[in-house]
Amino acid sequence: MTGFDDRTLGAYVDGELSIDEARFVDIALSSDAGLRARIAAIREATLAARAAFASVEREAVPEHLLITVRQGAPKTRVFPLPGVNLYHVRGHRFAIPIAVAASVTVVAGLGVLASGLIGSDPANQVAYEDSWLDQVRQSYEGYADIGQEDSPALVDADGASGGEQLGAWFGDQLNRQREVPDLSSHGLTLKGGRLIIVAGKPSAQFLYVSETGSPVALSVVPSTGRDQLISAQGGDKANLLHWRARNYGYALIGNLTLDTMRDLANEIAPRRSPAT
Amino acid sequence: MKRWNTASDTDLAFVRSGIEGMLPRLRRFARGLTGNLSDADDIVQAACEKALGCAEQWTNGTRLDSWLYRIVHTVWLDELRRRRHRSGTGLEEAADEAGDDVVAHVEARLRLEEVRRLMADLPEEQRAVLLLVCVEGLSYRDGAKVLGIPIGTVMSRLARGRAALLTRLGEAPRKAADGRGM
Repeated sequence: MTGFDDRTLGAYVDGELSIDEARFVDIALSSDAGLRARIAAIREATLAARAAFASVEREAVPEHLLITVRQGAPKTRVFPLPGVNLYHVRGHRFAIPIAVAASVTVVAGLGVLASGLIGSDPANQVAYEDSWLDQVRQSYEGYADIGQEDSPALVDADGASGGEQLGAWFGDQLNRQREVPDLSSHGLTLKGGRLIIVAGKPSAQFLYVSETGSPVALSVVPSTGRDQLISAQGGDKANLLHWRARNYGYALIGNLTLDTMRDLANEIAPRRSPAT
Repeated sequence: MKRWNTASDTDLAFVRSGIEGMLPRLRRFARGLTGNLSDADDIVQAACEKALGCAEQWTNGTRLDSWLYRIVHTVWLDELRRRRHRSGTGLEEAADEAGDDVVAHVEARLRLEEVRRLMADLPEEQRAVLLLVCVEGLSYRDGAKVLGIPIGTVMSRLARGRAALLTRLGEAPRKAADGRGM
């Protein structure tokens, strides 16, 4: 096996190598079965860890935690984060629900209000939009930089068996069905999908490749904001189009012309959100 | 202008809303750290109060999730120092709670429980890095920030953690494979 240590191979699997470093690994992978096996093993460990804790995220959040977050009174003094022991609140797990039990039904209604707060302030809304779109762009650029050939480790699920199976895979992972758009009429081939974290939420990213070999990614991110029409952002490496519909934010990014990207977005987005 | 001592109402509302959206993932991270759901919820509860109490320390425009992970981890380390490690307890309870309609096959469930148990047996420093990078999907840079360690250390701990996990997975009897490619 070629002389890559596990730190480097792990970084390769995690998409953390530079373009040049990743290419070295790519080249070695094509002729080194031992290296491919090691990559597969590292990937297995990653997937095993992820799968082992996937169910926790799908569980209902205990009410006492929701109440703490929605009602917890902010302290007005500053204290440093490290080294401060707050574990004295251990008993709150039981105390808080009892103390506020009478107001639970009212609090439940506050959830809708709380989820709308991000959208209630323009500054926060801008920061939020920038944040999730930046993360989508970074995620795409990391993928695109490394390249598509001989990099199966970059996708969590292969798209070779079709969009339906890939959608089912995401359904298992996210507990929500995902319809994978068929963009073959636009010359895009489905390469696969992966789970990414955007704005703190697990999200689906579908990966396509154009006839010229250029990667295109569609990210679908849970969102509590209002529906939005398609907007475009240019960039050094790729154009990004984004919109929001039915409690999801969509970001389509690729190094294709803006017109082509708009055509793709119009294909994917609901008809009532035409590209502008 | 941002005040020094208190979070503005809008910042606090943003943090509060962000924390709520993050609760499932904070619980998952805490579950991985503590090894059981009961302790995990205690940790998350303490972390939420801490985060709301010092919301002004979060800088608007930076990643809220990384900041929250850091708080959860800090609370856990504090707790760990206090009661020196009983992370093996509670797994049976956790295993019961893991039964949901997503994991359809009993054998697959057993396998997942086994992985959680093996993760719980890893040294805390390796476990935390594995959880942040492999489970929560943080970049090395963000993981390093959460844990307050250099990126190189993240890489080393990840490599050791994965190797240990693979070794232990290989040592454990391999039952039926998870139908979803695990």
